[in-house]
Amino acid sequence: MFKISPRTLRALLIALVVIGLLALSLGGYLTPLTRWTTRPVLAVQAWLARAYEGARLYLNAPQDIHALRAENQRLKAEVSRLQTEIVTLQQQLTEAELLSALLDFARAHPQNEYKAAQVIGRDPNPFLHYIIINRGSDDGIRVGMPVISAEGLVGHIDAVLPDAARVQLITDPQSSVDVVTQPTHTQAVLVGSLTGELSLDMVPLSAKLNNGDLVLTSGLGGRYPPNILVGQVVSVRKLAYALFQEAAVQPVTDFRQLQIVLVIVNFRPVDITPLMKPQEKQP
Amino acid sequence: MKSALSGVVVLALAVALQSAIIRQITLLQGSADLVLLTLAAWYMHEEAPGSWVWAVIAGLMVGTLSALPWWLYVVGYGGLAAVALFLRRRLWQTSYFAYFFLILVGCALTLGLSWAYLRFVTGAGIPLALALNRVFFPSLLLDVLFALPVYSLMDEWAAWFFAEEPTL
Repeated sequence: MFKISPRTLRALLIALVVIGLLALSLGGYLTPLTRWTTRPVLAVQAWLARAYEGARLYLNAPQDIHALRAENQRLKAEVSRLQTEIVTLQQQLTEAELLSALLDFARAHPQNEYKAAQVIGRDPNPFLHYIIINRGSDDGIRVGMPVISAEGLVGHIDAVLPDAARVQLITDPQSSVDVVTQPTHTQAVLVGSLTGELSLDMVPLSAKLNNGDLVLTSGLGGRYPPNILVGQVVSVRKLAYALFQEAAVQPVTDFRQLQIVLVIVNFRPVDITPLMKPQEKQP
Repeated sequence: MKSALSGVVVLALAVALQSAIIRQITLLQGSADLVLLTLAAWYMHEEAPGSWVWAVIAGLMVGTLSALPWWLYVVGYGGLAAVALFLRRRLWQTSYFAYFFLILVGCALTLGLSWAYLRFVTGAGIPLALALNRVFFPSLLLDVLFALPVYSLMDEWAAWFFAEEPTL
């Protein structure tokens, strides 16, 4: 019989214990024990870490605050610059959309030459419907030239300064435009009013006029070129005892939202005033 | 001279604001008259010189922009100056009541003259009742709403304008 020394026996025992522990660990049987023992250690470690971080921040605070304030200022300035840029881009987008619509209109009517102008003001008097545009005689604008928007007729140039002009809108109480309705081909005079509403006047009772008829310039009178869209008939009033029938017209142009208009610069209005009898002449 | 120059600056600003912004703030067809409010607020200061000059400058400036003749505005604002001078001579101290009274008179003068010119000279068919309901009363209400802010601004301007220079 061979004899096992106590030292060897101890080594074997330790090896067995280690192998056993390894087996238990690999089998996952020691996990609860590990968790139970490491939890307090980790808690202490976390507390120490937080305390260290707090102490470090406290000690480094002055220079960090200075850097943060500078960074904050820089970011604020950047935000402000970007916000300004956004507003500018939005304005440019709106303007581009308007110009695109005007360009479409100009392409649809290639016989005319246009000069785009920005609306910069309105007549100070509330009785009048006039706008001020930023183009004048220096840009080739002359009195009487028709003014349109992407939607349709706006009015005509009433007065000109070197770098601005005043436009009488077709909604002005003193405005009158010779028009024709489509498809009924009825000639009429479109008049404005104090309230900005448009109506057809001088329409004989026998003439055909229906709701939904389109209203276009007729070219009569020589003040506007023919076939510019003005609006649409929305209601017709025919009284048996009246000489003429009347009709309300919804304009295609939103006169409150006018921003950019086109002046037809190659149209020469015809002044028919000398052909009129003295009592018929307009002041 | 200094009063006239300051009048040109203040009234040019008022006319530009009136045409570009205030005219778009409407109640029915009425809108506030910033030039009228500015003049009335200026006239309320007893030491304000050049009332007639300011009225003529305002009339010329507004008349240049407007389709109505310039003399119509000169007469209207001149009438406002006349009433203001009358009030200043009669009252021992100008008050807010006098200011609002001046606005009422000025509004009636300028809009009344405009309506009369359009109705009887150009022949525009604007009935009086429509003019009153759609333009005059809404304009007067807006004038009253804008009156106190304009008065405050003109008060500041007058305080700066009449500030005594230090003497040695």
